[in-house]
Amino acid sequence: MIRAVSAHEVAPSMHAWDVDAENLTVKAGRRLAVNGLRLSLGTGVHGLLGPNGAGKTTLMRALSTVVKPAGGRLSLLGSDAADGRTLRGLRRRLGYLPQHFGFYPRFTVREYVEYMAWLREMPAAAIPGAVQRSIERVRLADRADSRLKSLSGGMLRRVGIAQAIVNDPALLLLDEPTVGLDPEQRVEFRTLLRELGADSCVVVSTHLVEDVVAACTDVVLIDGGALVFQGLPADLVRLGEHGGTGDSPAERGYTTLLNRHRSAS
Amino acid sequence: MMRIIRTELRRSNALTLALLITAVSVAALGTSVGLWREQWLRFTYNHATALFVLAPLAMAGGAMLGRRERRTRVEELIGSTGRPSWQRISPTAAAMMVAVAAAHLLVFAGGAIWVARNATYTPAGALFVPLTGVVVLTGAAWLGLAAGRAWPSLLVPPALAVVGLAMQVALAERTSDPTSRLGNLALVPQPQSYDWEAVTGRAVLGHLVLGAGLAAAGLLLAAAASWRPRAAAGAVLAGATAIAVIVPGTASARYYVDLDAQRLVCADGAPQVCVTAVHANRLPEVVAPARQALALLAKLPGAPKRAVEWRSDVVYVPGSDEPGGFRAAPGTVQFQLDQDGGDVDPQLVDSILNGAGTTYNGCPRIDEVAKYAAGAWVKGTDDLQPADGRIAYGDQFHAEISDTVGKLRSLPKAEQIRRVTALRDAAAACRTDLLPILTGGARP
Amino acid sequence: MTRWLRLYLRSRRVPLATAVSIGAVALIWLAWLAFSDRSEVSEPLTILTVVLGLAPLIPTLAGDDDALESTAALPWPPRRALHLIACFVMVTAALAATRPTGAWFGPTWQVVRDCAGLTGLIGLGVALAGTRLAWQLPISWTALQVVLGGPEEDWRQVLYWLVQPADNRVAAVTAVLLFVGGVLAYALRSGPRVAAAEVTMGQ
Repeated sequence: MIRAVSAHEVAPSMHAWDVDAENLTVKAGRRLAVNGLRLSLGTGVHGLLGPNGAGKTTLMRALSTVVKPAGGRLSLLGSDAADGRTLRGLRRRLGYLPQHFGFYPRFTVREYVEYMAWLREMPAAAIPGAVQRSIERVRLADRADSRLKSLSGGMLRRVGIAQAIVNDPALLLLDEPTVGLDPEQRVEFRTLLRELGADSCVVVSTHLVEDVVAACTDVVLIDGGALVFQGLPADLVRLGEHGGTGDSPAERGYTTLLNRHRSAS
Repeated sequence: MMRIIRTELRRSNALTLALLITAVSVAALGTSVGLWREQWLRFTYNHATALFVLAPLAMAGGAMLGRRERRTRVEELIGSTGRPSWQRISPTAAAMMVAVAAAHLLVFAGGAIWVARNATYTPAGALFVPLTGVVVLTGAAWLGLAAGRAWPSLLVPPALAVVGLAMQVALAERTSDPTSRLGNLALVPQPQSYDWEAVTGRAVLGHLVLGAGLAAAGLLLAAAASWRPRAAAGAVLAGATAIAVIVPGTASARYYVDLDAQRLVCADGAPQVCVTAVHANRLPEVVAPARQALALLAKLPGAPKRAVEWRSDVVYVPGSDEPGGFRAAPGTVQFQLDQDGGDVDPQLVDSILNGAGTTYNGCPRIDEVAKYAAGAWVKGTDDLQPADGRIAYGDQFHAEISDTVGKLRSLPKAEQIRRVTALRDAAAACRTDLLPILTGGARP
Repeated sequence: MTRWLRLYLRSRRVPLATAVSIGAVALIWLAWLAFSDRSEVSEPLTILTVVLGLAPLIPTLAGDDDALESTAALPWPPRRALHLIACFVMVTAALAATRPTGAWFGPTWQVVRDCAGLTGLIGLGVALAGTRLAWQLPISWTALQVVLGGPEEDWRQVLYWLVQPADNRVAAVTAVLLFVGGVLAYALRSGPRVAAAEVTMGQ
């Protein structure tokens, strides 16, 4: 299914970077999970890597405007994330899949995605078509009318992806989107990611380094709430050719970078 | 938004709540069928008293829906979306309102079909009471919604139901005091004493304002993000409660006498027998005994030629002695139809003959021995069995009656007639010392 | 044994529920002491206090992951039955303990009977519909009885068993049957199976 493209989507953008963070600090509870982060992301698929507790999830929550930054400057799609007045317009162009995303168990797939589309203030006439498109893109069209509580973990994850992409967001944030997907579904998902990354800014936070190397145009590695490395996946692979622990060059590159960063600080 | 409302109706607990409300309402009405089967005014009262139970249940149902967001951990996802909170809860609140209204009105419609077949008097404002009930139920459900959003624990819904019930019980104790205004808040006020008493518009308005206040406060609290809407909700609730307490007046001013309901409906033929419009469906049963009693009363000179149902011109205040009522016009004997339980007085003849046709003529009831004796004399028996439901007399009372009648019958016929006629005239004039008239001045 | 018991009680959040339950009973008791001049609490309020004492214990009747717990080696039915009976004993004891004080709840036998029957109803509700919906039947039926019922004759004594006088045999039999039925039902089944996707949501 194709859809009509509206004028504001083809208009040239007025901002340099889709995500522009300068000395960003975000609190998780009382801890400073993101501490002095400097990050600039444009169009493309950006893989967010890092150890547990590095602040990835907190960063994703800040980028999706669920939490307000405690300090520093964060500009999303050209508008300031801390400014309450532009928040509503910004959120219309956002898509978010949390790590533990909640859903209403009795809703069907279609109704849930419709509800999220309505929450993101899509024009009412466009919702049914957009919902059908996004459900088809995640290959759930045959289960579109079954209740969410009857779905398996992988299918639920795909429903989460569907609701994140239903409004064709300019900034798409996916936290662990491939949890529970079988290898075939993961390959399909990578294709979807590449499609999405062609004209919007996609940030994928994941532990699976292969996914990052295969589908991302850019790799961001953070540790301890600060940026460690930002560059091409090829650079990561190259770093892993000589030393480091892991079963693939990408994993070895990842551990090399982390060790270098930890020994330097 | 309409699609979302339909989704919520199908997938939330709105339907379950509607089923629960329907079942409880039907159960409550089913146990009192005899009371309301034939009159609109009583039917709307009995249907509305189920609110005692339904409002707490609606509150609990709303709380279960309100805690859904926190329980399913949807909050994080919703936090990244842009819709303001009052727009977000509108479909949920609308679904609750539709469910609750449908359940309440469906039960009303079902009962109304039945009543419409039997009832003979349809008051003008009969529909306002269930509509007010719908507003009160919606208010309770929305208040519960706000409570569930604020405290998502599983303890909250049953706690709300029980607390609501406890408050009702406490308020119900206040309604037994006729001068209290706090009883205006109770959803089960005192019932009407007679079938022609209708609820005043101010009482209905009081409940309507209370329901609207609950609804507005619930909506404001559910959508509140800062302290301002919460303060406004508190103010709205306080204001609505104050109006609901003050405007309807005291409990004794809750009902008024509906004169249309008291309009007389008479049977064909002579002598004329009339009942009030609200009892017109009982006229066929009443005609024969009334005419029989009139024939018996014809023994006395100046006997009445018409039997008319007794009506009151004031609202009866429970516990008071004065039933009020129209004084009987000359040539008319009055009888009372309204026995508890809705059945026609099985001893109608005896009741009419009591006091030789003077018991229900608007005078206070005293000196029953003389009246019973006169009635027994007219009937030709030794004792009288009127279905005087409120009072149970002991054996000594009945022995006195038989005694008096026996002594009366020992006198010459003309003297008997003279004395009973004198008693009848004295009772009609509301004189109090009646027994000496029958016994010739000497009290046994 | 006690270690297991302690962990079990914590897993079911029993301490908080017990505190709320006893606290609610205490609140009503204090309110009656303060605001009423009679020493015996009125019947409707007694019945509502029984419900108020039992309601916070409903969520303790199911754990967070019953599917996981059912894989345990030890048999659950006698433990579940014991849990329900313990709820009944606790609430009855709390209300009966007010007897020597200035505000006391109803004829003690009536309190025992009402508590037993309501516990059985709760057990039945949990077995049939799960803890989230279990409160509907007991509270609706109790509310209807409190409003519409009184001392009755014949079959209505079964319908209005909560409000019959303490020496009424039919009501006592009804309460005992409800109690036994509820304990058995809950021992055999602790609720409908929870779908895998809903397990993380808790109660």
